[in-house]
Amino acid sequence: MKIIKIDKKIWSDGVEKSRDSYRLIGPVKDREFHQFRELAKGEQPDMNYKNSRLSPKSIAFPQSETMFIYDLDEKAEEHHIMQDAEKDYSPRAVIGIRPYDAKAFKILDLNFNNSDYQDPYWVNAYNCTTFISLAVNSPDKFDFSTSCATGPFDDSAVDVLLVDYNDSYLAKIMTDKGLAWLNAAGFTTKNGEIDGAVTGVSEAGEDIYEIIEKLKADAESKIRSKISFDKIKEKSILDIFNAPFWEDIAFACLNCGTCTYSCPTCWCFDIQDETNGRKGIRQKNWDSCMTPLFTVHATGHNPRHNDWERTRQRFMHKLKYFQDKYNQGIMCVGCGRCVEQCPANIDIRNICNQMNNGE
Amino acid sequence: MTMNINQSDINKKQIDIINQQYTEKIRESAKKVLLEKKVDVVIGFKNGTEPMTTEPCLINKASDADKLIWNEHCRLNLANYVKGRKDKAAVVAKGCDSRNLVNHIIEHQIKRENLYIIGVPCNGMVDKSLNLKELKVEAESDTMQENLDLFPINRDMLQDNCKTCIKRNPVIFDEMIAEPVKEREWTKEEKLKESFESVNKIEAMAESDRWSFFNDMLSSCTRCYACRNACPLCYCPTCFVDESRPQWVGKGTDLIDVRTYHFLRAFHCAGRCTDCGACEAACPMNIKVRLFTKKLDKECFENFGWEAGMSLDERPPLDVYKVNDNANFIR
Amino acid sequence: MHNPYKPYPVRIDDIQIATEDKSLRTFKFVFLDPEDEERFAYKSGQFAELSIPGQGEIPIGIASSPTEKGFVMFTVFRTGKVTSYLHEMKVGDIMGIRGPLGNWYPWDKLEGKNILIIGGGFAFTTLRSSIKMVLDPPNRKKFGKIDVVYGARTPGMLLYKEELMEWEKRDDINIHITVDSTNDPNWKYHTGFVPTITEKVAPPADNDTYAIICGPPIMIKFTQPVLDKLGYEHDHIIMSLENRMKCGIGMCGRCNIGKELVCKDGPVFTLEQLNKTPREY
Repeated sequence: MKIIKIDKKIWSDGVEKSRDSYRLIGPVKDREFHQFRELAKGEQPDMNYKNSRLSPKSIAFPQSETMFIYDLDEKAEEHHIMQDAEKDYSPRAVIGIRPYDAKAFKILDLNFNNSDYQDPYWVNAYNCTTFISLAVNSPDKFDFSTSCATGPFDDSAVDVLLVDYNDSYLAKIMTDKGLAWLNAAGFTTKNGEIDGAVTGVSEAGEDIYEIIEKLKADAESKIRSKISFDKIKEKSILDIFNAPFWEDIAFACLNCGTCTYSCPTCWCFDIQDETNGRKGIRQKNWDSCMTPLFTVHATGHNPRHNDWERTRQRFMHKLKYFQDKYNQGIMCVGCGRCVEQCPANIDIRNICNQMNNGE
Repeated sequence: MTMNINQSDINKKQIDIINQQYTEKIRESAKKVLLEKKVDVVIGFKNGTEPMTTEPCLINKASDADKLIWNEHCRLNLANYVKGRKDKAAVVAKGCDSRNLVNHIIEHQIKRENLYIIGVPCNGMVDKSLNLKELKVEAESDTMQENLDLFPINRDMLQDNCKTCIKRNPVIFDEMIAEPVKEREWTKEEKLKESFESVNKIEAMAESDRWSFFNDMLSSCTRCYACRNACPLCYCPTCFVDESRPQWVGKGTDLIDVRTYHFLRAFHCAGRCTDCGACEAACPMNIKVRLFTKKLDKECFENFGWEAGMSLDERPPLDVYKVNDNANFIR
Repeated sequence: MHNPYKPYPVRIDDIQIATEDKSLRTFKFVFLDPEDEERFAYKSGQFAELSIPGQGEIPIGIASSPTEKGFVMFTVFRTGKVTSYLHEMKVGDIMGIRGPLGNWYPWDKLEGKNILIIGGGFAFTTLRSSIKMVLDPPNRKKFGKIDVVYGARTPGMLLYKEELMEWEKRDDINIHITVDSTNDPNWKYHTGFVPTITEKVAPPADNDTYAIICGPPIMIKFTQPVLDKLGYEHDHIIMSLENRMKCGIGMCGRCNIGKELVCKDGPVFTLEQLNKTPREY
């Protein structure tokens, strides 16, 4: 693994240059909040953003995505037969994504890309994306990522990890995919070497590793909220499911979709047909376990009829079922969005600790 | 002691004294009604997990009553947590909550005799996006709480609906936890001008500007339905957006469907909305969804002199026909 | 990459009204591309998404048997938006089928064993597939004694009546048909609820006998104690569940019972497995 130092003065030119071979996605302020979206020509990712209101999962798992188109006109050729919707899976780079938001993609990948089935929309979109991540030097107070097997400097799910350091970005090159983007941005020489030939870029010296470690330790030490889930693993599903605290925990919950929609790891979705005249589409839309519609049978019977049962489902899924099914920690990266945005103060940190420590 | 924070700035220390008094009285009342078995449960607010946050809570034994609190962040409308309850519930209610309780009673969602209303004279709620700004203070900052202690509260810091509140004291109650706060005396003209200022601005726009204004405003809506779910009025067993037979509204992100949802919901709240602001308090994207309901509030006020939830004895205008009803909208 | 969301185009080849109240219809579908029939290779107990462009999809158990070639068959109860639309469709109409989906009854494990099949109402579809499959001559000798208890409200509500009557005459399978009630004086089969009849006719429990149950929740609820009483071990009781589904491939997240996804890890579970999961179905 190599680290290079990119002078901020040449940063935006490089980003713009990489456009020749990449579509670019980054955080931009949209009205009040930052959102990840495709950057128009000349538009730069806002590298000073704090957090995006919605997670960047929409890059590969959009809120609404057309899978198929069809024609219901019997005179049309191939009528009533699903045709693939047009897609663009040319290379693209997402710049400035938080390390643990990138980590969330690994979690989603467990669901959408497994040995039995592969969701082609997810797989193709994920594969064509290069993750140029930005370490978080100053985590906000909702951040509990270090408890979730990731953190503000986690480099395990990214192609390049940028660290904001004075007048430069220190770039940890984690994969060949990452190197390819740096090449395209002109941050290396043509053959991918860093030999001082590129103005503003230098190979980092030995001390740079220590500097990054220091920045990382600083950032992590700022994170004060912690969760534990070790004991959740040991308890049986039914014990936690039948625990007495759920109705109390869920009392305030409005069963809106705020947490599930802002969450980088909530993957549930719906499939819907929509028609306009004789033309139709079949789309994949985000769905939320908070709504009764999610599970109601056609007969009207609903296995999760009560509001509090739906709240329980969300936390059981993220903190217990996921652990048991995949043995890869919890389905949460500790980004804190749900805590910050919940209108009713449903706080996953408390609930997790209660599931872990409660009777 | 009463304070009118709409008229003079008071600092956080002063408001804390009021909050402390209110909190103690609420706890006292809650204990009393539970011990006397006047109610099965008390619905109020407890402290949230972060400074400046609160959480609606259900207390069913007197020993838990000390969880209850009151402060200027009790934004949600607790009438929303009463609908459909079969037991006897005490509810901590500020002016707007009580108006929604009136609605619930009129609309047969709850029986008056099953309610025990602990009335709270309200000094207004602080706008939550203001909090968010404050909360952006980095996690390591210990000075945040100190800053908050000196944090002055003035009219500018209140959420929009509180700035034009017409009823800060509860309309109906079984007991009041403090002397009523002073209500503003509004003339009809003042109301039309000031209270509906936001609506008037939009009405004054050219049609195309208005259209793009709404489109822009709704562009960030994710249809999480927090506004609907926080609203005490929204108790339909199946909301029209969730109906599949027939499917009135598409489920994707098409702006047509987003608009349809917001417009129709507002119409369904006509003559019922108390402008409590819970919808805006709940919206994670800070969309000013009250603009829609407020327009219908204005229509009701202008045409029928109606303000929702002010009396148990009067039917809402869309419920009754009167010969002298303003009919100029029928063409 | 194979797209698991993309249905195979099919043509409706036959539609039969299946019950006297016309709430169920049996559809035979033929694949537009014959090679899709091979791609759709399935086992008894699996289901598929019937996919109607413009309407949506519904998960339905496959009623035909893998031993029947040239078509796939489904019997569909008219209940929601998509099934209502399907009931109005005509022979020749084009739609889609996505699958096969889910697991199946554990046929490998059942080899050499006696099987007690218990079905109620219109949940008999995958059981019909199973019976048809085990009665296929090359298959029949793989299994021991086969008993079937099948009940419906009235004689007119029994599915696949002609086949039932045929099977009833055979000596390599014991068919016990029952109805809740009938005013047909010539009714020569059982009268009474499925649990009661099961108690009467079920073979004794032993390590070599398995029960397969598929029916409405109320039937399952009252049959389980009967099987307990008869001494069936919970790992010898096999059940097929239903839950609301969309993707059918374990991704969309709604059909879970605990960590198990009914669409992918199920719909077939042993009672022993279900005892460890929340009963959210």
